[in-house]
Amino acid sequence: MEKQGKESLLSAGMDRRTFLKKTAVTGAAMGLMGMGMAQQQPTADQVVRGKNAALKVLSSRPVVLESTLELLRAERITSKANLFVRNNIDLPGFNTTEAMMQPSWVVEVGGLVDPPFRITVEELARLPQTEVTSVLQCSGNGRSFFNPRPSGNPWTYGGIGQVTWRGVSLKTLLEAKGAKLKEGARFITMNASTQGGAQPYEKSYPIFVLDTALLALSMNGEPLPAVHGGPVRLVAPGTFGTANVKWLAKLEFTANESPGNEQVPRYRVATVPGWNIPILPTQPGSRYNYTLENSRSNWGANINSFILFPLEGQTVQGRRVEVRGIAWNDGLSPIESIEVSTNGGTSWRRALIEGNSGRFGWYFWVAPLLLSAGEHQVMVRATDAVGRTQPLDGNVWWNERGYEWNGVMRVKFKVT
Amino acid sequence: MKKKGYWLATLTTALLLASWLGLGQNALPEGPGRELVLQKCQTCHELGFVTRERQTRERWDSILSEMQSYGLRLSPEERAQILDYLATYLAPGAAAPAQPAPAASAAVNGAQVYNNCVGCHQANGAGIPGAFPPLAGHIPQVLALSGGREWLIQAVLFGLQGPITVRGNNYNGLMPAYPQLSDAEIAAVLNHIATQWGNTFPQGQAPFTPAEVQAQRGKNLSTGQVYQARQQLGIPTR
Repeated sequence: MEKQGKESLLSAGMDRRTFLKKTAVTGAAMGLMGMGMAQQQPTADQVVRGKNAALKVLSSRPVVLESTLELLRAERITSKANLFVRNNIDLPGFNTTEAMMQPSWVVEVGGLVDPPFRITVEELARLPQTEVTSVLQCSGNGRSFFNPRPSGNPWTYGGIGQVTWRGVSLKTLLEAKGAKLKEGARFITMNASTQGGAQPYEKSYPIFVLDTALLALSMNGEPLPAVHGGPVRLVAPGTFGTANVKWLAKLEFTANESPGNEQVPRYRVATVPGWNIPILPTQPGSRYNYTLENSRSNWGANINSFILFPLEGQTVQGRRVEVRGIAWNDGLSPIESIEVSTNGGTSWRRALIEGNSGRFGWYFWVAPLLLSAGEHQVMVRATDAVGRTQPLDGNVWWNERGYEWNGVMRVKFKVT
Repeated sequence: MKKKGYWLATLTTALLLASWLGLGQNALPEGPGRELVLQKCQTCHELGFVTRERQTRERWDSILSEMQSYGLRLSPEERAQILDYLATYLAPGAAAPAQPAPAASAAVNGAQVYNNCVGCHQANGAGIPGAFPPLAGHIPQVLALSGGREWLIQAVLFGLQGPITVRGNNYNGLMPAYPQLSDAEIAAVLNHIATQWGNTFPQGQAPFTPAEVQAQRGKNLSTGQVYQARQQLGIPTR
């Protein structure tokens, strides 16, 4: 981190070209060295055409690619090359960031709606479009920090990005078709395409997302990349990625949550219905028999914040150091305070919120600090207007499958 | 200039390290049940989902049940054997297996590279009915055709997707692409499968060379294009 001044997040920190080069080479080297550990791991650009080779390949089949803080901090809107991927199923031929043009791709809309209907992507493209910038995050992001480590992809911080979606809101769609929900429609249940013999993928949302969800046809101003769900993906801003179903083939209004594997036991945390606690604390390492009744799905994203400048292990020029980063939540309540601590949490001072990307996007913040030469550790926590905040020890939310980590981030760095 | 040299050196070191460590050996410790894990767990996902985990017997048990609910077919005996293996060798705190010592020569070993293939095509080259075609008896059929050698290289480099008929049986699975294998490794594994299980090269055909693989690599075909190329070869269905 050389000169920082008041540049944007994009230009702050080390020279962009230098670190892109650096991360690309380190990434490639890491990927290659990983070869000895399991099967030979290909690099991200080999797994998905158009991806940055600096992404970490957590799996090539199904595709799981993790972005890095170095890449994320270089862009306000995460580019398609740098965005993480967590596929549960791979559709043959879809492992590319190019658009997927399949003429007359059909989405079936049915269940508790009158009348049920089918709509092609071409027809969708002709309806009024809605645009939203939102955070896309795997609910397993941060899993590696839980102790003992739960099963699942070993995400650190890179299972996240911020992108701009454009598509047809569900409300607009229903209006355009003159369709009305029937009594008892409490959930939206979606299915991904099974073309090419792909396994089914079924997820449910509470009907609550009807107000904000859209059928996205584009991302960052381009046709939706195939690997990110193109030609059409259900996007519910403010929610974790898991139920933002890619390659949408069917959308139903249902009385109940899907009982399928993807809805239970996967993608759930323990809870007590009607009890006011986000996750029922369980003994780390213990088992939990997830049912639809004793747990909840990973729907709304919990409040969280990252430090992007400086990064762990970096050396920065003192004494004036600008610590920068991002914060976000589910968009239901604005983030009011972002605080940093340089004394292990004994005292906190407010960072300046420089702006956000709409209520579902990242809030960018900066904390100018005066720091003496030597080793430092900085921590950050965000709090929203309804008082939701982050635990100092993220392990209080330990859960068997390692979801929804939002423990306070700590970064050690050196000031010269 | 100086910087460039540094990165080049880093990359070269990484490549050397990688070729030293690599060679496709799965990081599954030796032990009873290992073969079964290799066979069963790679049908739907890569082996990394297994090798990187360190879980209790209880947790492995429920993971196995979950996989069965996704369609994993196991006899009770196979299930017990796999569970014993996982609970023993991939228990919390279990160390990663020692890396195989680097081969005396830097020669690439086709049998080792075949570890990337064994999950689907099986140790005996018989494949899995309905999903993954046999290599035993089938590779010579392809090699005998004009363009067959090139097509085999393409199938490994770029993958294959689509319904096919091999020796009277229908298959409809997916072969992933293996661009991460080096030219030498692909040549070695093709030479391996061309000479195993009673397979032989057609008379007059020489073993695959890395240069032949390199010649195909730049084509960057899709799985669909490899499938179309296969249709045009005229591979016998019996």
